[in-house]
Amino acid sequence: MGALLALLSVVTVFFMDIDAWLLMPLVTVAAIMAIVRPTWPALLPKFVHRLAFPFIALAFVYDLTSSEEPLPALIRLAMLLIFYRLITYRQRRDDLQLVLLGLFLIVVAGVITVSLSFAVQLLAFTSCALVMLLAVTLEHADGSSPNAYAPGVVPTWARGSWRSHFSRLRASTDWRLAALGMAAFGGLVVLSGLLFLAIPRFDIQSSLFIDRLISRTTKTGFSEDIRFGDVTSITQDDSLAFSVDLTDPEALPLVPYWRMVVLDEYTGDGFRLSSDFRRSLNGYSVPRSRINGTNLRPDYSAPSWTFYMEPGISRYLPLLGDFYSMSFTEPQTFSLSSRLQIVALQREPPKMFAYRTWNMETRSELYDATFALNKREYPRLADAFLTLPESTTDQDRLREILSQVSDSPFTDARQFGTLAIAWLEEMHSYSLSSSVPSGEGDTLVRWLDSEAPGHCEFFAGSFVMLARAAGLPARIVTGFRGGTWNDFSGSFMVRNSNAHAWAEVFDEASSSWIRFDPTPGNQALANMSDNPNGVGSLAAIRDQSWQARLESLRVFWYRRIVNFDLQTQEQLVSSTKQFFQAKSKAFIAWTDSRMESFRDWVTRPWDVQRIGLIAALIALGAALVWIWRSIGSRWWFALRRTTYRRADQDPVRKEASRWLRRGSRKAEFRWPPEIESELLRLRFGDTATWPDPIHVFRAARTALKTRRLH
Amino acid sequence: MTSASAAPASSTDDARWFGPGAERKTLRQHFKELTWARMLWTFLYPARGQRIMPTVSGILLISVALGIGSAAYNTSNNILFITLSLLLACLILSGVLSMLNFKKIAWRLAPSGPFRVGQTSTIGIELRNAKKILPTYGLWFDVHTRTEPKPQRFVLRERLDPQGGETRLDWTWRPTQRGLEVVEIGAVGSLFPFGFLRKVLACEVRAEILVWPAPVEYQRFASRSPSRRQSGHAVNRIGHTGDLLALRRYAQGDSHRLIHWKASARLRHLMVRQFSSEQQEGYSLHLDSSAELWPDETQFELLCSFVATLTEDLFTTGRLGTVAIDQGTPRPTRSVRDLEGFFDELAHLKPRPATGRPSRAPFLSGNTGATARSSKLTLTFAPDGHRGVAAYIDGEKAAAA
Repeated sequence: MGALLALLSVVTVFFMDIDAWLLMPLVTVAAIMAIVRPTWPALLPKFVHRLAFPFIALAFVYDLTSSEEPLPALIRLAMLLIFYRLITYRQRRDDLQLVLLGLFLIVVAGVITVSLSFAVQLLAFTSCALVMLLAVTLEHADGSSPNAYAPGVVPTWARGSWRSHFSRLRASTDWRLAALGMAAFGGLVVLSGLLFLAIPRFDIQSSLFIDRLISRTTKTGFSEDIRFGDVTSITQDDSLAFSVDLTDPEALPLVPYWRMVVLDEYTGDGFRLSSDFRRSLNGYSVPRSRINGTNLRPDYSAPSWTFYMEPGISRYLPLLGDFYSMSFTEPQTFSLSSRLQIVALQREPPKMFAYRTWNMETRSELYDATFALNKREYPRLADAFLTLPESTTDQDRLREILSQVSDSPFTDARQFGTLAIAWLEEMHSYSLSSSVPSGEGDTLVRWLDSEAPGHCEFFAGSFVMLARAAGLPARIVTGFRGGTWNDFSGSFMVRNSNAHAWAEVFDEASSSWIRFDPTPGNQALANMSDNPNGVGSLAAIRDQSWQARLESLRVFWYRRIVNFDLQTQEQLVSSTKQFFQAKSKAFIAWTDSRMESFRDWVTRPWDVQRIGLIAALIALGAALVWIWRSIGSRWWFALRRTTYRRADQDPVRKEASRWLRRGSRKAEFRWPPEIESELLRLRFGDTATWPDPIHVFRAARTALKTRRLH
Repeated sequence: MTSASAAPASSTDDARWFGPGAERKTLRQHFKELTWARMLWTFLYPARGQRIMPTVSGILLISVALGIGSAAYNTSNNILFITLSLLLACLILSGVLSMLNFKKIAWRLAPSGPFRVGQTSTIGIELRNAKKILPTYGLWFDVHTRTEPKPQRFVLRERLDPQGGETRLDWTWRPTQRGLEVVEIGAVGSLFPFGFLRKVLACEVRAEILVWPAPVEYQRFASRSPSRRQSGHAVNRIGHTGDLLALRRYAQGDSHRLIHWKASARLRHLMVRQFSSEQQEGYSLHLDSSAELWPDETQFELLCSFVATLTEDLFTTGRLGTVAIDQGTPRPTRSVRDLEGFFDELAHLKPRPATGRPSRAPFLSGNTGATARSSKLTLTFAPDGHRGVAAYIDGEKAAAA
């Protein structure tokens, strides 16, 4: 069991992204060896045990000083200690140490990852630890702790084979104990769940904790500097990126575009956030739990959106548009860019990150009065959204291509968008594996100049370049497009495969940034996203697969467990109270109505039909009683007699014993001799000599009742 | 709490059971006694005589729970709250399983005599599980005696099956002191199921045991033997062989086989047949326990042991007639029960305080006592040097220990 515990705990290190690639296989091999060949720890020479702890201490000190990260060093220390415990014969206290080390690893992994697997691992670990402690307790039931085994000595238990161990286990284990064990474990889970809900919560909000002591690397490419292909590579991953809970699913657009990063500066091989915007985004405020958006006024009837973002996605939060307010589960350091209408955390969340927005804008147009004003008053401020490739040749070629889109000048952004998208669709097809023709000049211009297929970044980037060439401020936006509605969890799931890039062009007429999705086939649906149709019309994106079932568990985990707070607890108490109040009211009302109808029925004039009905019911009841007494009880005894195993468990004998006991309990009561002898015969006699048990029991009942009457 | 006494060699069937399952209650009785307040209070506070203490692993678990709890409150981290609730649930489950383990368990002491100083005997702890479904595991019993107050622990290592399953834990005990000994189960405890909590029930189940004197080695000397023995008249058991002489009234210790039922019915009291062999003379053992004669305690203990050994040997060979201690009336020793009664007396025997009258020690120099006068084969005892004890037959040294 100890080896199994070690395996379970070391698995958690895989989830933590800790540099322990040597220790993990070492512990795994040691655990397997401890299971397969339990005699091998005796082969270790004595000096290994003497040098073990100094070596482990030195290794920890070196690790701590060299890595300068306390948590990974502690985790590696725990793994070393587990390894040592696996290669020695453990005493009772060593088993406890193993349990504590394993618990430490699992809890740390749980805090860092906040994943659903933590719950599974913790339950598996708890069951194994309890079984191990039970075995240790039964072995040393007197509380003694035997002396440590000398090096080279193989304990008796290690010499036996697994078969003999299992036969001993089977001999000492009772099916009742196994059933009790399973029931007890089920009870443990339920009890811990109830305790989890009932433990009072106080919002102390001290923010220092171990997830800050470990640095993680970003897994995906939603950052302020994106090269062509970065977003497309994310689409290869089909895992969940984030899920969204809506208070009103009707507010969900048909095809939602989740904006994360808005990029303005073209680099030649991609886009990035210009230094000006980057500076404004890096000006972090003090940690706060709530922020207000811009442009919108409060609308208390508007739905709230709760996001559960998986770790490793980005430090930029996916949003549909501007919002009235946003809140976090714990204070965060972040910055809100009102010009780009995005929110960035100071650092990428190392675990699941939840936030809620109220009154979020879902339209494809983002109203930006500030930009409109600045563009009019200070035209140079719009230059960031009008930059073209540096080379004049490329700029000239771009303008030539633009002339292919339309000979006449563009009147507004919408007209440009429609024409440019049509031209792009005509010239290029969509493909995940894009190939840009080789040659000189800018990448995008070369791609535009060809008929090569491309992915969304090429389409979006080319569209932005064409818009800028047409004198329209434009920017590229990366994030996610679409998602699926999970019927099981009742939430909207967005996967990494939904990663996408699109463009936004500023329309002076409406003082808004208008979304254009130039990727072939997308624009039609992009326009439809302005009309929230709700889940009712989203039959096409409903996900009822097994993956959706599993993900609904994950959503439950995030929604009900990880995000459980004081407010939720109060709501739970309130809803529980309301539930019981409503049920008791309903029960009282139901009883009242039944009583009332019974009263009505009784007070109604009696006629022959009703009297006949009652007489029939009484007759039916009497018939049932007669059938039971004459056939049913005999049949019931016969049925029960087919299943008993021991003679003293015979139901007839037990019933006879019960009647004899009842008689003996009654003061001044003596059985009639013939009944007593028949009861005794049923209780102790040979079955061949038995009288009819039913008659005897009936006579016994009569005798007792008669005595009562007297 | 409770106490019981058990005769050393008596049957244990009628011995009372102790413990939570000693009294078999019906479901109705349980419900009658059950109240919400009592049930809740039982869960919150251990019943009288019960003690629940955390073990090292329990303290560790509580400490870890406290640490995780403080971290959970400090950070509002639900992962830590989950861990905390699981640890607390483990602690609660441990308490509940421990309670179920003790439920309806009964025990009693079952000493299997006879007990003699220096000889190993068995004291059993009988266990019964009256639960319907659940077996019981891992109980331990702390047993001590008056002379050995340091408790010895006996552990139930096997499964005790439900539905009246019984088992017995045997303690091989070697008494060290003659006299009345008290064996007591001081506490019953268990670490079941996970070793977090040590639950102990103080029970004080006691059994009083009479320890007979130790058998000793002794040396025989050539001496006069009973004249009839010399004539080759073998005696197997006094009163059982020989010619029928008469009928006499029944006396305690007479064999029931000797009862003459017709005569008993006619005379309305028990009459037994008296055979000629009953008149034959065995040794009449007389023990003088005066403190003047036996001032040394060790020597007195040796006397008791020597007397017991000699008596047993004589009884075995059918040569024991009567026994008497001090001024007591000589009693015929015909049956094992008589012999055991004499051993019981020896177990209780203490040096008789000095009365000022001359002791019976002169027996060793001749037949002066009333008993001795009535028998020519009187066996008496006197110190033999500073340490030894000698047995005299009509004043002649016959054996020494």
